[in-house]
Amino acid sequence: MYQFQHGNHSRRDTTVAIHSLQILLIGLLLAGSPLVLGGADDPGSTGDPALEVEQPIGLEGARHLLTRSCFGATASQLKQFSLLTREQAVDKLIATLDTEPVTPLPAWATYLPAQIQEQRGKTDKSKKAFQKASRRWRGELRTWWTRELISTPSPLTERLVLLWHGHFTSEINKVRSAQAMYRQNQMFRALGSGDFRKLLHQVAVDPAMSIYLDTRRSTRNKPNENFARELLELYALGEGNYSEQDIKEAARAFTGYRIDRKNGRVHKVKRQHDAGNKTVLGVEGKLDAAAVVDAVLEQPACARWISRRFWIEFVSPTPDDQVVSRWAAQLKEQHWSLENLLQIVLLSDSFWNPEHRGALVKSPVDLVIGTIRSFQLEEVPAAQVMRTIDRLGQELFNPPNVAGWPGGEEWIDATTLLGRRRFLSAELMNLSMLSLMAPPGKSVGKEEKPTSPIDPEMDPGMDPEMDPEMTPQAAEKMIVSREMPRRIKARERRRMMPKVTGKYSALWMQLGTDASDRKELVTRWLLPFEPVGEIRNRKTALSQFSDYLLDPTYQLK
Amino acid sequence: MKFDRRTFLRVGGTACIPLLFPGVRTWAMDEEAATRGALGDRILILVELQGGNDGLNTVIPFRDERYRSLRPRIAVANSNVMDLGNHLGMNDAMSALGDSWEAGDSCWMLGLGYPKPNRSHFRSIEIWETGSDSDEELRDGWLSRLLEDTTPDPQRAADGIILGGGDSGPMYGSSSSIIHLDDPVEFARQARAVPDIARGKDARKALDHLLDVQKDVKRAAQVIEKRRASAPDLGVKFADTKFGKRCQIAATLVTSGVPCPVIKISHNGFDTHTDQPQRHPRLLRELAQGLASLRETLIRSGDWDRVLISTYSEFGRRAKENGNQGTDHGTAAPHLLLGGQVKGGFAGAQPDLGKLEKNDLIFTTEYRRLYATIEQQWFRLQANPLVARGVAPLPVLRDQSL
Repeated sequence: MYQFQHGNHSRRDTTVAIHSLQILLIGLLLAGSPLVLGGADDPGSTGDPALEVEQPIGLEGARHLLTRSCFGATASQLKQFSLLTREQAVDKLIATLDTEPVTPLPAWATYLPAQIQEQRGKTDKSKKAFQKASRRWRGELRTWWTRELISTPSPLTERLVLLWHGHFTSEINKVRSAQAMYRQNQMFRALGSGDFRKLLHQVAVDPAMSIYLDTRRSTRNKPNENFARELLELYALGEGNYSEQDIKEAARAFTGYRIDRKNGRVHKVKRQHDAGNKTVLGVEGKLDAAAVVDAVLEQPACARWISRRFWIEFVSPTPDDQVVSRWAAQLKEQHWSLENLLQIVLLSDSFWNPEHRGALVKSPVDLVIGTIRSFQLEEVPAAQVMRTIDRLGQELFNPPNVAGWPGGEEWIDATTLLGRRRFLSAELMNLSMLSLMAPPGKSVGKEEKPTSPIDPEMDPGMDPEMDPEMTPQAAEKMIVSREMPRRIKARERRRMMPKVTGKYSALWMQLGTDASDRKELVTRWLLPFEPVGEIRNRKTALSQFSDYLLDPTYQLK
Repeated sequence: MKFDRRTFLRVGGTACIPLLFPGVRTWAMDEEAATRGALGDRILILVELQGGNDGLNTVIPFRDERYRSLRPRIAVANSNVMDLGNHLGMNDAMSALGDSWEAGDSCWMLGLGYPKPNRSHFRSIEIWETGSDSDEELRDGWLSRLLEDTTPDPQRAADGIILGGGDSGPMYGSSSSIIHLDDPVEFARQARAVPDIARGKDARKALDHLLDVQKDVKRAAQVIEKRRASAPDLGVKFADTKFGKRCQIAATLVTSGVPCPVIKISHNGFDTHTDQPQRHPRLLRELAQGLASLRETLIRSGDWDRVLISTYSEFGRRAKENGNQGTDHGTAAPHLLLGGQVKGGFAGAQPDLGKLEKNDLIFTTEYRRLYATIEQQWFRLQANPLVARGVAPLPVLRDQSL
């Protein structure tokens, strides 16, 4: 069985120290520059920033925190968080961090290379069948993670998984192995808020990475530079903090690492490994992969590079070097605890600075998953959601290149802008219908008909997973077919329309007691600041929501 | 030294440039040079070979023994080489472009590169696309700088159209309007629903970007839609590949007369660290087939003389093969120029396989000579010192007197 070492989360004992330190720091900083946070947007703001951290964060603060650290929020989650102080709110989020997914894993996910090899077989026929199965696995893996993003009780955990996936990139199109990509994804979940040193060491011997950046084929006679280069340039240090010579020498250290067919782990094969003397980043010796990673971690640039990544993810597109350096120092002091870094960032003045509200462009995952979670459409078919996210330019498990998604303003171009509008209108309507329709169930155990429309006659109360007759294989098939994209027939559309209208009317009415109340809340809930487009008085709740969703400001967070 | 274009200008305006680059002509100081003129109806189609195309297996020094000894496992067999003369041959996966070579409207520019080559995909494509030196960081793309001070044309659908994904690259810059599209018909339909919202007073960068894209979308869609009806069917078949489809859209945009000076098409997958003998010929075949169909369409429509097609890529690949039947990131590479005004043949010199640096080719042609050619001879603009840095154009076009 393939096992990851789990991060040693000794959360409680360190956070208290951080909090008081943080509050002290905020106090000290603001004493010198009381205007920084002046004009904060909480209605209860006294204008005294030192007190502000003791105040409830309000609806705007809650929206800011939740859209950036999670994926959207329902109106009632927003209200709950609005009553908490910064520290309480961040604590509450951090407490949700988890190391395991909730979505059941497909059976193939834990197959080992030897088993896979066996399944592949030697004949043309078996190879062809294997190719087909392997393609299906890749699709199912992507669907699986989309489902986890939709349903997870800890969106913060998945936010970090996504962050690391975009940072320590691997493309499934090159890696091909769904199993290796699953393991990498699970590694990000298990270590993503743990000790960064462990994470980096694991990345260096991650099977998917060894395929993606060619270390598995790198030999002492012909070292492949791919991983060494990206480790220094993109993963850990950043351009300007190493030399070409460092890359060449590091590449020698990464030679001879191969995937063990029995346990699926990467190990060092002596006769392929260059055991000679090397100098990487000033460290000399018979360095191997672990020694190079240690040398990288010793570089001051490393903690800065990671802190900078967190700034760009959570704060704004333009990192403040001074703040980033301070975070880097704290990261090292806190024994590289990523959970602590996360807490430092989410409690920082920079994060809460009103200037940064709406300064980030929502990624396709932010937009699509966030909208689905905000409007409680969790029953949608995950593969359909995934395809929408793909079209908007973020294929999960398949970033465009080793630098990951460029993000920021690059998310928006003429094509994706139109695609985003289509998602927020026609597609959202379809997803709303599908989320209220019973999932297809008749095809279970028989032939799989993934695209077959659902049977309106089916008893909506029937839950096939409760069926005692169901085999695990049939149950898995059921889950897969339930997640497949579905087309809605005109007849079903007519039947579902009133239900959808009803859902959004109820949601609208819950927002407040009168129209102006509701408009106020919907703005605070969905938009980082006032809408720039026209919000008209609409007859139906659906078209009223539509005005807000299609406002350009909904694209920002 | 790090500076972007903004710092550049803040330091002391354009007038300081000739001092920094002694070779630059001094007319840049003239007031009237601020307006560099109109682009006319000429079009540049850029084809980005993403990942770094292996130049040595594209234009092949097949008579050079050193070629085979550097690449015992991945060298292209002589039977798969089309002899182009000068001891060079073209990978016959590109045979679809044989007609063009015969007709003399395609030119291989050899050994394009720059000193102190950077072997990172991201940094090197940034150098190529901003037109910077190896150790200089510029923000805007070289074409964006080229277009910046040309006469704005209100008829223009966009400054650049990017087909089928990929970023704006050489068009990147705040002042150019860039349209990305996959399908022009669908694009026009959806654009109609986008509301007109002007930028507000409070400068929010992300929001401003969004509103700018909205505005660009609406304008481009209006023009493309108006022109669409006039696209003639010229009966040319395009290969059913991603690249082929993109070429087809480019052909439609040009033949229907959509006013837009630059079209960029991406062709992905050239990062051939492994299994190159299988992967590389397929990529070249798709490239050649797409370009050949595009050429044929534009010849039939009578647009061939107003179109220049140029490939580019972040780098070539290492002269010496690696242990995985592939090649690692390298340096100089040949690039292809096609068009009715192109003088067929070779330009520049093939890098010497006997003189390698760290197993890599040494460039023979400063890559910005291509940009100088496009700027001064294709678009017939006066040299902007920020675009080509005073390097001379290549003698690759027919009508240099015009």
